[in-house]
Formats: sequence, structure tokens, C-alpha cells
Amino acid sequence: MEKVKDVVFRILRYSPEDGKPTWSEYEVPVIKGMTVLQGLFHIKETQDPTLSFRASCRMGVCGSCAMKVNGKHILACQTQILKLHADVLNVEPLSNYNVIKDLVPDLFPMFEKHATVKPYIIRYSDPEEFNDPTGEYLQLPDELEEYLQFSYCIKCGACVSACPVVSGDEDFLGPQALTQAYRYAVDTRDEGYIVDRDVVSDIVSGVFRCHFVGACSDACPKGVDPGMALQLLKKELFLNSFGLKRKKKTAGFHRIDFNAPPPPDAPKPPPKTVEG
Amino acid sequence: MYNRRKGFVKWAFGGKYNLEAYLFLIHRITGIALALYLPVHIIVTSMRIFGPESWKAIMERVAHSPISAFGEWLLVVAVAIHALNGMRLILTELGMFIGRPSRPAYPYRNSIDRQRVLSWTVMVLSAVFIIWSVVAFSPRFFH
Repeated sequence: MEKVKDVVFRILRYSPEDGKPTWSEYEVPVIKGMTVLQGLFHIKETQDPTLSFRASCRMGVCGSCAMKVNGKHILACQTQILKLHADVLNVEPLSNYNVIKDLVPDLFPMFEKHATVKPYIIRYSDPEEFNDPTGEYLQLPDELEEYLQFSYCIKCGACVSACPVVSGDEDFLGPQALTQAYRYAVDTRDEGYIVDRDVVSDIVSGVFRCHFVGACSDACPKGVDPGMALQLLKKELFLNSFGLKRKKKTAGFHRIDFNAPPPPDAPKPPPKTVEG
Repeated sequence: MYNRRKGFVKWAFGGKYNLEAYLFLIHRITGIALALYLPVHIIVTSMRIFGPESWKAIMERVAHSPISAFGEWLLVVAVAIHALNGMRLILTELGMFIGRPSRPAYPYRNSIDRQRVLSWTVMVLSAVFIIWSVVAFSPRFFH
């Protein structure tokens, strides 16, 4: 592949020994289809091996490589350099976090907040079902659509970095955690609802600190739309506090006898091959 | 480690955001301005508890200068923008105009894009209101 043009990467470098973040410039020959992450790897391999950044899957699934390029929140692995239409890329780590080194933010506060909203299905009527399953819950496609979009979150931290409320007050749970609270609260299999996840209506950390700036939805690289989840969560809390909410639908349950013989018309399992 | 959480003044200059983020900044600035104006307003109007003379005296001093006319015009503009944008926020925060959850398909179209027509309505109505207020206040500016 031949080079299309040279692009200058201005990277906000920081090393704990030096103590002060500084900009460094690297020139990268860009070929067609090259991503920002490939550019960073090119710098690390050919120019400066001390450059640090997080990356793993290279295909927008693991959520390691979220960063800010020219003021926009992106996943470095799924953003092509030529699509940015710029000769100079200002590459910064995410805002609203502590930075460990170069482009590596400390995402631990986000995961801590994520845990406080109880991001799992809460059951009261059959608590032993999760340890010792006897069947499956039934859910209609419409009920799945209610939360499916919000379950695509890869926890890259871009929405928290874009949020002005988090930048003003770190006690605010942030878009990521509250989106997950909504995702589990409206799940028909869940019995905890917003009542058990009372941290979402808290006056300091809760969802009413959100002013629908929309920077989170704009920043999300997976189309999860945290802004919508937070507004729907507000609506849910509002209707619930005035008793206007219709009773939440609950998922049906289909018991499966795991020890029963298969029905006669069931497809036969493939014959076992004998080793050796 | 160094902290990159530096308050929303730094936030405002630290990135490129969508239209509504800048509406949020204007909403916050006008909101703080109105909150600061309110105690001043209450002190000035409470002067009438000392009788009609003191009320007239303070009105002579405050109400008839071009500077206070300009201040009043700024107040009208701030109230208009804050009220119109506030109505947009009430509608969207109650779940209107933001659509329903759906499977994300590239290119992503999110709730912010769906309610953008409201943002433009707010901006156009604010512009109309500001032009009208300039016309309405002009006799007092050039008094």
C-alpha cells in the first residue's frame, strides 16, 4: 500500500516521573484505511517505544482504546485517520479521570460507580433459581427492545469523559452507571426495579443531576445513547413517585426437566468419534 | 497520576460537542445570572416598605438611566433564552421527542439527533424574541 499523506500526531504525553503533561509530535505516513490505533502502533514500533496506550481487540468490542482526538471522543481502533480530514491530530487521554501514563486513564472510579447501581438481575420470588436453574424466563421481543440498546455498552468510559456534570462533581454517578441501572430496572426478569436501585434517585449522585447536555450520546462509539436512557430513567422515577406508573410486566417462566429423555422427533446428536 | 477532572469551564473549551451542549452552557450562564439578579430585585422592590418617597427616590436613581435600560434588556434576553430552553428540557426529560430504544445501526442516530428540531425551534424563537426586544427597548436606549 502506498502512502497517501503524512499526518502529525500531537500526543499529550505524561510520565509519573516527570510529573507534568507535555505535547510531543510524531510524523506518521498514512496509508488508505489506516486507523488511529495503527498510527499509534507505528509510532511505538518505529519512533518512540515509551509511548503508552491501551488496546486489545482492534475492532471496537473491548472498549480499551477510547481517547480524544481533535476534541472528539473516539475509539482509536474504529476511526480511520483519513476520515478525520486533518493534517494534525491532537491525541489526548480521556477527561474526568486520573491519567496513569500517556493515553492510559484510570477507569477504576467508573467501575466502582457501575457496581453501586446493582447491574444484575435481582430476584425475590425464586432466589435459588440462579444457583440451581430449573428452567428459563420468557420474554417477548418488544420487552427485549426496551433495554437491548443499553446492553451494548462496552465500558470504554467515553461518555463519562464527555459529561460536564462529572467534570464539575465526581460524586455524580455518570452516564455509564445510570444507563446500566435503567437497563436492569426495565428488564422484565428483574424484580428490584428503581426501588432497590435507590442510588439513582439520590440528590447528589442520582439521575436528576443530569441536564440532558447530550455530550454522552454524541461521544458513545457504540450507539448506546446514554442520554436517552437517563431521560427514560427520569420519566420512570417521575411516574413512579406520583403513582402513575402501570404495574411492571414480569417475565413468565418455563420449567425444563433437564433429566427427561429427549422427544422422539428431536435431532440426534452427532456420533462420538473414538480417539486413536 | 494527574487529574483530568477540572470543572466545566475547562470542559467547555476541552472538546467539540453537539449543539445541545452549547445550549447547556448558555442555560447555565443565564441561570446563574438570573439567580444573582433575584436578590437585587427583591432588595430594590422592598424599598417601598419605607414609604412612597423612598420608593420614588430609588426608582429615580435606578429606572431612568440608559445603563439600567441596557441591564433590563439583558434580563429580558436571559429570561427568554432560559425559559424557552427550559421548556425544551422539560419535554425531553419527560421522555418526549427522544424516540424509543432501538437496535443501534451505523450510522448511529441518537436521542439528541431526534430532538434537534426542538433545539432549532428554541434558537429561532429566541432570535425572534431578542430582535423584538431590541425594537421594544430602542426608545429607552436612545432616550
